[in-house]
Amino acid sequence: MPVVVEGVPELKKALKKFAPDLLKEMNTEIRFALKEVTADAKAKVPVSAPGRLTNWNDNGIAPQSRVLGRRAFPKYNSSVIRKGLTYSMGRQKRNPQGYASLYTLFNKSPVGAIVETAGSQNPYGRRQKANRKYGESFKNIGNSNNPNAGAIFVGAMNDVGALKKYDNKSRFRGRLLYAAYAENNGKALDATMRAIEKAAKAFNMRAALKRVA
Amino acid sequence: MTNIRIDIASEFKDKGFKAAEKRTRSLTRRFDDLSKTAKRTFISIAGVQAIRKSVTAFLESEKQAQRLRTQLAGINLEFASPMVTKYMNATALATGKASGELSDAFVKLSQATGDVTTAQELLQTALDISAATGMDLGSISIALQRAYKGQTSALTRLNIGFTKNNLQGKRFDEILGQINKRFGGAQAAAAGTFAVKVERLSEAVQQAKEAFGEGFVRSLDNSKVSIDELQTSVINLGKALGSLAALGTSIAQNIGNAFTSLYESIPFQAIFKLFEQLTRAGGFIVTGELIPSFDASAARKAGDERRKNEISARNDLRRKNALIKAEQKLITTKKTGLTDEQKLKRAGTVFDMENIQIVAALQGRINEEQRLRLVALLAINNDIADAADKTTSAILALQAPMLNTLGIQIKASDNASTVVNKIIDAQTKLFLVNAGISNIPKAKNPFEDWDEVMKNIIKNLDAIAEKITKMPSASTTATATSMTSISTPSGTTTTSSIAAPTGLGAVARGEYPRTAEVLASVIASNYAPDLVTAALGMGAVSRGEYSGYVPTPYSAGMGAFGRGEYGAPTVIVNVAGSVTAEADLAETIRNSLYDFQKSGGLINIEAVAI
Repeated sequence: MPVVVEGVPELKKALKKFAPDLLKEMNTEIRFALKEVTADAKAKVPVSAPGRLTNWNDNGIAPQSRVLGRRAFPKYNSSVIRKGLTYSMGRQKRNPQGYASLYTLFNKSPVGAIVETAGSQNPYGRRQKANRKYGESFKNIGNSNNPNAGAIFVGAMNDVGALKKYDNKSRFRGRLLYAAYAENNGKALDATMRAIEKAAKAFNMRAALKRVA
Repeated sequence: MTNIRIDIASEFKDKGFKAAEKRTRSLTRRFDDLSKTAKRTFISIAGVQAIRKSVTAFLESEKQAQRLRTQLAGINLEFASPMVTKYMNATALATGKASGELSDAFVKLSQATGDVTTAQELLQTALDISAATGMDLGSISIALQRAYKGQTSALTRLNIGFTKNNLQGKRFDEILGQINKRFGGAQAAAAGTFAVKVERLSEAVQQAKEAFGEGFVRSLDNSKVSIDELQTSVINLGKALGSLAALGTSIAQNIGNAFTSLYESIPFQAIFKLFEQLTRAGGFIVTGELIPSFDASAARKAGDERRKNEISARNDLRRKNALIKAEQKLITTKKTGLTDEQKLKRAGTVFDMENIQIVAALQGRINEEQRLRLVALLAINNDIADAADKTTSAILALQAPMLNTLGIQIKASDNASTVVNKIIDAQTKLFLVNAGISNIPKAKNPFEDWDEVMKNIIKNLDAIAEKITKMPSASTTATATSMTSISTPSGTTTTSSIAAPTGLGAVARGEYPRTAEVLASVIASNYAPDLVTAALGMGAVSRGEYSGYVPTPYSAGMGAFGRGEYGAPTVIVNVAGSVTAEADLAETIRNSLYDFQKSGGLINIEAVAI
């Protein structure tokens, strides 16, 4: 669960106007903390497709979906995954519940998301049409003729690393970004909060000194 | 982009939620308005239905009256129709019987009797029997009709205690007497019962309906409201009702508006006004129906008026509240702006070098007045008016003695601006005084013509000298041709002859012993320095004061001579004749040198060469 704070955008505005050095310092500290997580996540990305899924490697040919108008299943490309593991220090769009993220870590690439979350819903893979019962809906059923395709794929992804929750309350599980954040043990969060507090304190102290003067 | 993300820190923004709440409230208010409109509409519909019922009742009543008139006309009693109708209505109100029923009974009886009065008596008897037995009036009236014509058997079928044998052979008068004796007063007695009272009330309502219907139709017929417009309004009402049922609440507001417009349309309002007027004219107090009575109508009208006033007042209040809110918002915005401005200013002063310098200066070694001045400057820079005023007042108090010398009197109540104004006034006056002084004519310098005077003196002296020269020679001759002998460093001696003033030469020559004596004394006392310089020509030559004088090659040697570079100078003064003693002349020269020195001239080796 993210920490809900108040007044950070206002603080950033004030710092930008009156103490740009403090803002720079704060951003540097936060950036360092966030980069640590993304760097750990990037380090988990294997160069080639995990397991023995050699045909999944990106050979430079753009994949095409068999269904018209749908996006094809992306090929494995480690540089694309690494590039998608990033962070943002700007305020994000507000969600329907009214919360807007101030500092965010992302796994942006679709292939990165597949590696990240494969098996989080079905630990042994999705059912395939090969073992679909007659009359059963095709919903959430894979198109493979291999009934063990899902399990094989998830097993291959587990070579990257085990699925981890990034905190005890979260339902999200992953093996790249989430795992890196879980292994970070909240250091990034602490560093971020500390940097904000430090900047706020320094700014207030300057103002107080000025008032005394 | 995928939705795989981790939010490190978030903030909660409730702006949208407030907007949603506001919209929900607005929607609820609209539904309330709709319910009010619908209520009003359904009341209108009920009113229309009541009108329809009234008109129907009136038409039925009119039909009965027409039938009564026709039947009375058949027995030549048409003239009595209005009175009979009036009687019927009164009887109906008194007994609770329907006027139609009474009318039918009365027609039957009148057909038998051919007389209105007898028919009325028989009708009363029939009413008594009906009240006593509970039988319907029609059957009794038929039996009485037949009995009146001699067929008494019909009375036996009524089962009212008469047998065929009892009635046989008796006249109708006797039979009627027995019946009245047996049933007389039954109707009056029954009229006091609650049931009959209710019937009477119902009959009153029925008559009111008929009367209203009659009045409505007649007034409509006489009014300017066209049937076409009325039909259109009624059709519109039907359409609106249909739309209401079909469209549901999602477009409730539109339907409400449709009903409102229909309700407020001219024909509809005309109908309602007519309705009210008729009700008032009738003066009926009717209950149990949706027909508004006079009181109800007035109450409704008053209620409408009150509602309108309330709505108007509410709208006014809402507008005022909106204005107040807008004003408060503006004030808040201004306050926030001021606060922000102050904050920004305060924060901005962190890097204000000027203030920093002032504060640094305050920490140095300064006297009280300087401290006060710095504090005042700090206060002025930071717009702290109170402190600035106090400190400037203190500075002015310290400056008071100095200002007094300028003619400025400072009071304790004077603030800085007052004092500054006083200073400006004083300075202005001073400037004016200075300007006046500058315009005063320049004073005459008494020594202005001194050079001219001196020239004249010298000129006169020259003239005197010339005259002296031209005088006959005396025995005594003065030789002053060789005044100095200069030994050069090479050992050669050069003798320079410097021409002395002519007059002096003559004096020196002793050509005018007395004149020379006088001149010597004058020269010694008044013109010694210049004269000596001029006479000897040495200092002036060396200083170059006489541009017209061309220095001889020996002139340069004089300085060197004076500085002792060529050994000690030898000055030989030969005094010929008896002009003065040698010692006196030397003393005179020495004194002249002293005087020269006193007047600022330099007497030293470098500057003077004798």
